[in-house]
Amino acid sequence: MNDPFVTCALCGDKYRPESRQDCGSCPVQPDCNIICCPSCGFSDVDPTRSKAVKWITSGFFKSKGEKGSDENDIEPSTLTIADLSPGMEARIASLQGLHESRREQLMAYGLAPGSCVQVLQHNPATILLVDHMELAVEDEVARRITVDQPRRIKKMLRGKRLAKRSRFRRGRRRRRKH
Amino acid sequence: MHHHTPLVDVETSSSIALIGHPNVGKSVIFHQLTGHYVTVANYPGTTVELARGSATHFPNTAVIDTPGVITLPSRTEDEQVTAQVLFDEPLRAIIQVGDAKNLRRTLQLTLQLAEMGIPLALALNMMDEANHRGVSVDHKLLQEHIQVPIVPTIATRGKGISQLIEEIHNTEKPSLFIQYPQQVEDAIRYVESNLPESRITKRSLALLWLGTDPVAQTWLENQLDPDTIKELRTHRNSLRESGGGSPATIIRRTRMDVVERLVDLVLRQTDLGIQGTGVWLGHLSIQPIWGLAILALVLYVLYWFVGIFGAGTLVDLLESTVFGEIINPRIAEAINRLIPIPIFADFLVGEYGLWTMGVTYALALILPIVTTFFLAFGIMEDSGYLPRLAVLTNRLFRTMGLNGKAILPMVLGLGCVTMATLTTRIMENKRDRLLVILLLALAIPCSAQLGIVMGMLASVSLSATMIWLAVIVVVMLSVGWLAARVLPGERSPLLLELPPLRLPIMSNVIIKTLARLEWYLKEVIPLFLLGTAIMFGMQKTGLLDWLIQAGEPLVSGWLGLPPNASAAFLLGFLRRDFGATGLFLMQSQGLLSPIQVVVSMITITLFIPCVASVFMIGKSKGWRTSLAITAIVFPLAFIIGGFVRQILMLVGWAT
Repeated sequence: MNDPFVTCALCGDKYRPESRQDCGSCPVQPDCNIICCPSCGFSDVDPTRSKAVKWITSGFFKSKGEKGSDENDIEPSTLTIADLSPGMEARIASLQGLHESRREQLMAYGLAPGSCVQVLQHNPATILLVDHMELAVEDEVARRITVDQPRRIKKMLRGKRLAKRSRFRRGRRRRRKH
Repeated sequence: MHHHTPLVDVETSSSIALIGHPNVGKSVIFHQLTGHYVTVANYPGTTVELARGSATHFPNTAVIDTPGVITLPSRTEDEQVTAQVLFDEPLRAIIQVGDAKNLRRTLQLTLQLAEMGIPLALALNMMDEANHRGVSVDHKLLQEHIQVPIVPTIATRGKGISQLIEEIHNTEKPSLFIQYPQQVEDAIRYVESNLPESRITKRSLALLWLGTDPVAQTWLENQLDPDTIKELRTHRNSLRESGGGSPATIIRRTRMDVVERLVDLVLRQTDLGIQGTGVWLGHLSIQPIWGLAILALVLYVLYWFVGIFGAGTLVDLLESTVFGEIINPRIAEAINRLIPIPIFADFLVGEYGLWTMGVTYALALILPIVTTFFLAFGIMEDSGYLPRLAVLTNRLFRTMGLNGKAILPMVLGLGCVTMATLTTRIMENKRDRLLVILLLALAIPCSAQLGIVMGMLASVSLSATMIWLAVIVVVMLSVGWLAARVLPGERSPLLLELPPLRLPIMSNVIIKTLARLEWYLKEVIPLFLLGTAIMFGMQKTGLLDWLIQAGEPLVSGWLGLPPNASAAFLLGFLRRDFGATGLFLMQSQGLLSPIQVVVSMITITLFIPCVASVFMIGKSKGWRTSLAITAIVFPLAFIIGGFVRQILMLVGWAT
């Protein structure tokens, strides 16, 4: 499906569906799912735009992800946020795998190349910690943020007991100051 | 937003704007500065209108509370409103309210605001939470570096506010200068040479332009001639193509470097990690299993408070006793005495009278239910629970082409669908908003109706309630899924900030509830009165009876209900509970079989929402949309009701 050329079933010619040379004169709206061979005019369904084909080939219940996007798939060798297990921290390497608008959104929240982020959990959504802010992102976005320098955080979430103790201690310290 | 007239009126000559990220406590500080109450909210979208009040410590000055911004250049509607304030208002000073524990984010905004040349002060708020997490900021050193006064505050306890006020009295224009890479500096110089005067410095206006801020663009398009605009655009586009990234990215990266250097100098984080009951509970509430358990608990409490206490006890008290026995008979008597003409008297206190039906309904029935609901909702908002709800339900909404944020208007819709229609603002794009509005109109029963529906179903059997619930959920999911395929546009995946779980401040919750009630009384009640008047006219002209008769074949033939159920449906449009009550009366007289109860409850739930909602949809999305939604929902309700009847009869349920 990554092949930009389509072979016409009737005349055997190869052509690029995106060129849409003949669409100008066609009365059907230019955004239809039909592609027409420029040589013989034979019409066929555009496999890259057919939702039914995508649906069937991508599995019945798999999430669709962002349709028609120009987002790239990250090579499997790069580490992404989705690969980090809860309790791990890493530095963000790149947001290039995302739409520009999505990138802007993330950077506005402080998730920019160079910032440190900690993964808190992945289920039911990926929760990240940036500075002291918790951010919920969907896995399809997490999968496209590449990271490096992963390391495990020693102190993750502690139970109530430790919290109560330190609060008490800090409270006494504060009261003594005033 | 399209206001171009300043909000300041004649008596005040200038204003102070409160700007900052969401959830930092801007509204609390607003309250401290003005003594005038305003809605305090944790998630963007509820501070719809700009709040303003007169500053108690500054004569002739107003304080403006802006919606939370994430960053400028502005993208969302809230950010655009804030940017508009910067352009339009005669600002004497800006107070940036920042979260002390998230210093990097705060400083990103500080730098941008400081470049604008308006006197600026930074309130580092929520210092208590920062201390709790081992964060300490050397604000004096920071102040030296960025030349902007910095005041640590704990707004909820009033700490630091007097110091803040003093700083505002003395504050001057910030002298911060950030050096950008050479190509950006050249670009700035070129753009500056073409810019008109504005309330912000030319440098920052140039930076906004290069960052493609839409508000700056619109403003400039109004100020400059088209040729200049075209030149500026080509210049900007050529910058992007010349490599090194778009100007916006370079600008942001430069600012980030400056922030990073500052943070290195002034921020100390002791290795306490994340602790505290609130944090632990916060994490628990989004675990898959515990989260759902907590949700079930929350729902149960909600049901008890709104459904049993509100819809049951309070409504009974008001409707039967206060209005039924005390107020209404006296008013009816008085009107009948004062107005000898029967038709006018009837108009006011007759069967479809403005008072007896319209006002009584609004005050005795809706008001107590909606008040309890808004109180409960306000507590959930202020505690920070709602975003967690969005996380838990995100997967469910994925199937409908939405994301978890949609849960917020849907939950609000259980209280009042009319109000929920407005909350759909928090959805990121038009498509999502339309989808949620459609689902609200179709499948969400509001509190007025819900109580009666559940009561009727419960008195039949548990399986009746289950069937009703299952059908509604399935309809919602399938219509949502279908509509998501049909409507053009991409799904926006969830990206949501989770504020820490906090104990809600009851005074804030009550204030917020009062504000919502005030809105409700002003906006919704007139619509009910209008609807009542229409009904009155229809009854007097016999149109009502004709419509009821016309509906009978549909109601008895297809739905299998007794013919006078047709009246219930018609009236259900006006008063959502009236439709249900009519059926309730029939059930209590033994006129409805179990299948008939289930079918009628399903149909009436799916049926169009009340007249007020339809008007509200018309106001927010346009009349064609409103009609289209009605045209979809109306037949769908009847079709599904009929189908359910067929299936139940086929299966032989409860016969």
